[in-house]
Amino acid sequence: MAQKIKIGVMWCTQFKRHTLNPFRKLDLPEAYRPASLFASRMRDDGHRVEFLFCDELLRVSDFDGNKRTLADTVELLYLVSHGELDQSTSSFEALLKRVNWQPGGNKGIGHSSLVVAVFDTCHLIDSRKGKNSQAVWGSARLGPKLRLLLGFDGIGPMNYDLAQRGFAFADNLIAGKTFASAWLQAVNSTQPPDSAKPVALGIGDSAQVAKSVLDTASLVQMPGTWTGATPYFSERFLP
Amino acid sequence: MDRRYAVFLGEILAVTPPNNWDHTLNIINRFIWPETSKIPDPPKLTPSKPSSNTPPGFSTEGWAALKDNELESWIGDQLDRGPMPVFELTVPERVPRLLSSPSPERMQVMERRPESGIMELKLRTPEGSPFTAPTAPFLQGLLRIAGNEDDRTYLYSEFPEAATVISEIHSRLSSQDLPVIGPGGRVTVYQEPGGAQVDFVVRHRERPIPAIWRQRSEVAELVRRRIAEYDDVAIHCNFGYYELSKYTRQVYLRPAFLFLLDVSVSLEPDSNVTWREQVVVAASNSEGLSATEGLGGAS
Repeated sequence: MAQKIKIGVMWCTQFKRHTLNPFRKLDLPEAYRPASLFASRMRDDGHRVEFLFCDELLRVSDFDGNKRTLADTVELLYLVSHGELDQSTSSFEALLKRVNWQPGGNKGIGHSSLVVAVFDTCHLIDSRKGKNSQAVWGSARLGPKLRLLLGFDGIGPMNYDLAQRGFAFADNLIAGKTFASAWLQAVNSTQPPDSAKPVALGIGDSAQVAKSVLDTASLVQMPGTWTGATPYFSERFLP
Repeated sequence: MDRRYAVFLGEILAVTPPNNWDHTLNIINRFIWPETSKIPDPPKLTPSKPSSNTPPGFSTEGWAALKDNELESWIGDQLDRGPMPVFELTVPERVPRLLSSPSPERMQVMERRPESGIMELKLRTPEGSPFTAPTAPFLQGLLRIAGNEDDRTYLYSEFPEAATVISEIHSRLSSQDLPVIGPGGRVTVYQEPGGAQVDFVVRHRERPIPAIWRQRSEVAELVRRRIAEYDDVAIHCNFGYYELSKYTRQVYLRPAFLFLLDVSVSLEPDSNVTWREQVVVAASNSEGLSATEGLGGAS
């Protein structure tokens, strides 16, 4: 029987940064949609939306451990925003309204509750530039609960209709698909072919264990912990 | 509307050896459009070929990579052909229902999504054994179903080693000689633990509606306005009949331009933020239709 889980959703539609051209904006006006559609479908099925933050309410101190580690109060986190890789360390950063959040920095994620993190942003990894899962996430502070990272390899697409992937992801999970298949199928079925490269990363104590998480983890079969020592990753893509 | 008004055939599929999917799918097919007295021959399978203009990471046909100053000329090239109609589609309320299942616990399920009328076929292998890569008869069976949904030319790609999508069949409207682009217009076979799922996102066309091409400058201007908002933009574009995903109601199928804009904004001191936007623009006007009808909320 499928487990009812606690989920957290976050999105950022507006950004305050110093742009070279002051008339340029980074805004993502439709970023609310994937997260909202996901939360709505999951809540309909009896899952609990534990927190919901957007724009100015996204304070990095609530997530990086300086004040709280909110992401670790839920089993599944769904964040929609811009994502970039730090130029010097290659670490993944999600852009919040005024500052960037490095989920793998400071106190990290996945130490108490978080099992699946969806970063519906660009650049969860960037394999075309040699930034695979090990390069980006190998030195991140990933706790023993965290078993899956879902997002895009390289640039990610956003517009009103593509945002249906949030609904599709929830619908697929509720239908019993694995987290990895649910994400890859959700993106594939809501975007024109080959217009983005979704990726699912399994995490474990060995490459084999990481792969088995991709093959088996679902709402019916929530994965257990790994040791939290040295992470191994398994990457899965669409063909 | 109940999604579970579907299917049938758990019993038949359960006793059908894997090499006899063709026969099984043929039977399934007769349940779907029962008023069809003669089941047509399956459409011919044609391997899909990537275009030479395909940008890195893209494999489907028809993509062009353009510079800003080439935009209007490329749009003009696409519109330099005879008039093409907009098609009115069968609305989800009117697509043929599928038969109820007598034994849900054993079933291989065929359902239509209530919001779009799109068919999903869920196959389970005996005792949860892995679903093997589709064979030619299996693909022909799928095409027979797809061909009954809508008469098109189908082009297939197979990915036997893939863990998620093991086969994808794209479609073209033969009489218009244009591909169907967008998230729809294809049949996709997804590998799943102990089975597979097949999505038939090929909506049935009811009737053509006359349309006239828009001015190339009008289309180009819409895109240029978007491009002007960013420091740097890479443009990839495609042209064809635009079909929405299985999650969306669609009443009209129309020719449209699909633009993928890889946009970049430079930050101080020396970094930038990049992302991809998708813009869909109708290629023609038709009396009584808004410029965005049939293109979802993205247009």
